[in-house]
Amino acid sequence: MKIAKNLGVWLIGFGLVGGYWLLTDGLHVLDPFLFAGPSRISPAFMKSLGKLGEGFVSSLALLAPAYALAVMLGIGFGVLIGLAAPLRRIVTPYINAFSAVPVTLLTPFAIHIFSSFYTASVFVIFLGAFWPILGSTIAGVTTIDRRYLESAATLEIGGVEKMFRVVLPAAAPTILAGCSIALKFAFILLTVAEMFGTTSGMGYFVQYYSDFAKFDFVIAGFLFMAAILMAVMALFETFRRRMVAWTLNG
Amino acid sequence: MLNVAVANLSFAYDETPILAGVDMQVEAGSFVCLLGQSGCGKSTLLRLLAGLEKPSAGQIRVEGRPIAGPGLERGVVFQDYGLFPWMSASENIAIALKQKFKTLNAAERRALARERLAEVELPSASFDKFPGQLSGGMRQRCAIARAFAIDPPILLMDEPFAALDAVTRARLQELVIALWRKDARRRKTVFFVTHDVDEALTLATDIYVLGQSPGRIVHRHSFGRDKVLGRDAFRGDPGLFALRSQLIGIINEEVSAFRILDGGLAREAAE
Repeated sequence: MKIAKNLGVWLIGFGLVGGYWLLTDGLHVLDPFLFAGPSRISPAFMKSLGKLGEGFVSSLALLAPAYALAVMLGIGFGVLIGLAAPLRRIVTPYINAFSAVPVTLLTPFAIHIFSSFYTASVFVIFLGAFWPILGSTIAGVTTIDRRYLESAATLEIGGVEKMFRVVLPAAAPTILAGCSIALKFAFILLTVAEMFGTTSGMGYFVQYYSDFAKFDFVIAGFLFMAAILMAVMALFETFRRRMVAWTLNG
Repeated sequence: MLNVAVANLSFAYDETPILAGVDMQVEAGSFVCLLGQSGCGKSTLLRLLAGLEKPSAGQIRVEGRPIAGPGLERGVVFQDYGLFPWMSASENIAIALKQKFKTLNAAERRALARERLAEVELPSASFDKFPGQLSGGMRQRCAIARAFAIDPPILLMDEPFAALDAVTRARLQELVIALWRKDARRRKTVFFVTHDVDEALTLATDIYVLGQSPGRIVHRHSFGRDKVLGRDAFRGDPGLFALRSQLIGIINEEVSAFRILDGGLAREAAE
């Protein structure tokens, strides 16, 4: 039943694998040096599974605190800035300026400022995830339907109650959209963050084999990361749907 | 039961006058219908009474005290229900109960919320549904239940049935009358905005007709304390039909006193 429901997903997956097989092992259209076929990727994948598993745990140690911090501070500051129009006017130009700086360019500064490579890596992922969450939270809060705030006012709902029972739920669809983008971006930045100071991790694995031009292992690493991202996003989607079950499209 | 006095009330939006010199003396326990064409400022008057807007001039006093902002003593039922869509029907009531009755625990609030929803004849299967999963009539029942749950002495209703079909509207009118009549000693002072003359005649003890641009009281009719006519009053009462024609005439006169001239509104001389 579940397979039937996700038939489209499976068909596209098989189509992509089949197409790639044709272009590589099947018809040898693509350069085999760069584009290893499934016949080389599969053994590389199986051989590296243990290492990739360890890499996943190691990457999680970077991703989880960085993303959690980005969620807490992004939503916290976003609500504050979204609700206070004068503050918003003051900080918006700076948010626009700083959020446009590519996070990868800040890596040397992060290494210099932070006491360890680990914290520098966490910072790079944090910053990449922080901006989309902050932006979406500000957008979500500033576009809350006035009727909800007026309803809250007539019931004298204020302070923390208003924050958690009215403002955050009303802005939740937009905030969660930002969190979803930030999560994907955090995975992209993982490779950058694991380029320095780490000796394991999914990003490190890809980078390591890329340096030795072992592209069958690089692609195996990509596939593993993609599978993890798909699983994480599926979990996030379940959480999101629960949070915004009240919206028309869930 | 609280008296409401509106004195020389004016309101302007971006320097456009919406209301000018509105005076009303409303006795506690009255059912006041604010009647007028769309855009005459009757909803603005209700928002001022709710404390959601600040007057440009004049004052609204409740039992002699000027109102400073929205408050639990003035329950509001909005045309678009005003329910929180992320809360179930019963949670919408429970959060209002939490604000009003601080000593109730969560279980008591939940139980009381369900009681209030049953009182407005909402099917129990819909208690745990989101407002978006309910019909318009059910949502409005829920909104009425929430307003009555906090037991405010003053109830403000902004065209609450305007978007409903005729049958649902009639049933909800009867429900509101029944709830209003329920406790004679603590009867609520109701302000009900409508553009429907028949609805005003059905519900009101007092009808205030608002004129156009800027909105002001152009006519008042009182049936006397406690005397809400209800729907049955329309059956063969020539006096009531005459009053109905008179009210429609007043509203039409106000509307025809304006013409749209080159994109701007101008009041023509009455003569």
